Amino acid sequence: MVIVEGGKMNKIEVSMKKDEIFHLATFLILFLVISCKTFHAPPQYLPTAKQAQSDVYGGWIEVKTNKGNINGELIAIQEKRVFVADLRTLHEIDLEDIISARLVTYNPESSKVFLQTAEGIVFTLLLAGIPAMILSTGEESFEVFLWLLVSPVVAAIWTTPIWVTVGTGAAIYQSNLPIIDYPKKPIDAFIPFARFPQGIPPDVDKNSIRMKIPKKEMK
Amino acid sequence: MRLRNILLIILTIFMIGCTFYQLKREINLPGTFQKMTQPQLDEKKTKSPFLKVHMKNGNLYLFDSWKIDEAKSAIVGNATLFSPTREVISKGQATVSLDGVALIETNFLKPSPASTALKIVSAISAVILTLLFISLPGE
Repeated sequence: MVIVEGGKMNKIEVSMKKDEIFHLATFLILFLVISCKTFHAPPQYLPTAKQAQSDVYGGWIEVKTNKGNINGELIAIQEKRVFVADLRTLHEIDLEDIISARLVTYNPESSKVFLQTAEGIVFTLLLAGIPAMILSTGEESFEVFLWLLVSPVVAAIWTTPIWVTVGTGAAIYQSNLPIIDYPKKPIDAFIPFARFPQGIPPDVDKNSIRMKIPKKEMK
Repeated sequence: MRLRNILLIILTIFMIGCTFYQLKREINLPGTFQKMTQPQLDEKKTKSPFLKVHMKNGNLYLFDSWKIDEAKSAIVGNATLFSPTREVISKGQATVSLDGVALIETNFLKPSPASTALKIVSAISAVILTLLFISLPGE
């Protein structure tokens, strides 16, 4: 609670307000870091949701086994084995050796959600001041000048907390959308995102299969 | 009048925002496609402009325009054919018999709820700004 006495805010109360804001910001950042699922796909590997419609490769998979971790392109899941290709070889992993696995099906572009949130905050504050600036070009008045100063503050108080809260939630939601975790979900849920959802055909030379090479510019 | 114009500009700016998508992928057996009625196929075509046809030999046809022929025995359209190692084999008009098809993949894009949430916040901001402008002196 902020107490205003004679137009001046008590110094202790101001300090408390700053602390509250700092704690809230720290909480939101921590919440964001904890809630967003991480993955280590090479840059440009993952197509966006739009590009994934015509992408001809498997999703990015990170497998934790009792013999070590394997990351790469999901090639197939068949006969209780998961096939993962990296740049050097094709790994064949028994399902019973897998402790956990994470599949990322496309690039969620959650950074764009952050960007749009930041844009929303800045735009709101700028736009709150612009009309007064335009209207004050003809006849200057103290009221218009005061309005010019006060309106961005009022807009900030009313809109910034909504933008930050909803924007953070939206970014977390968006970042988790393309992720499927095993054993939380059955391994069969990964199959549609494999290069060969039908399994590796017997005529295909397994030694020739390598993961998709990330391109700087994807079509 | 000036205020109305300003409001229109502001609302327009707020309505311009990125739309974020989520992808829904469906894998169908060729038989499922054969059983579909024409309206069902048309709906799939509208929702999924690309069609991925996984062949039994590991090749993949990526159709950017497609239809099922009248006998419902083949997929016809413009496609790129990829090898199992995903090298391009050919491009152009293709007719793929359903006999050699292992699976048919469709991908649908849906606007993400994250987009909707940000659009709602944009609208709330626009309303708050509108209320502020109504209180503007001289209007």
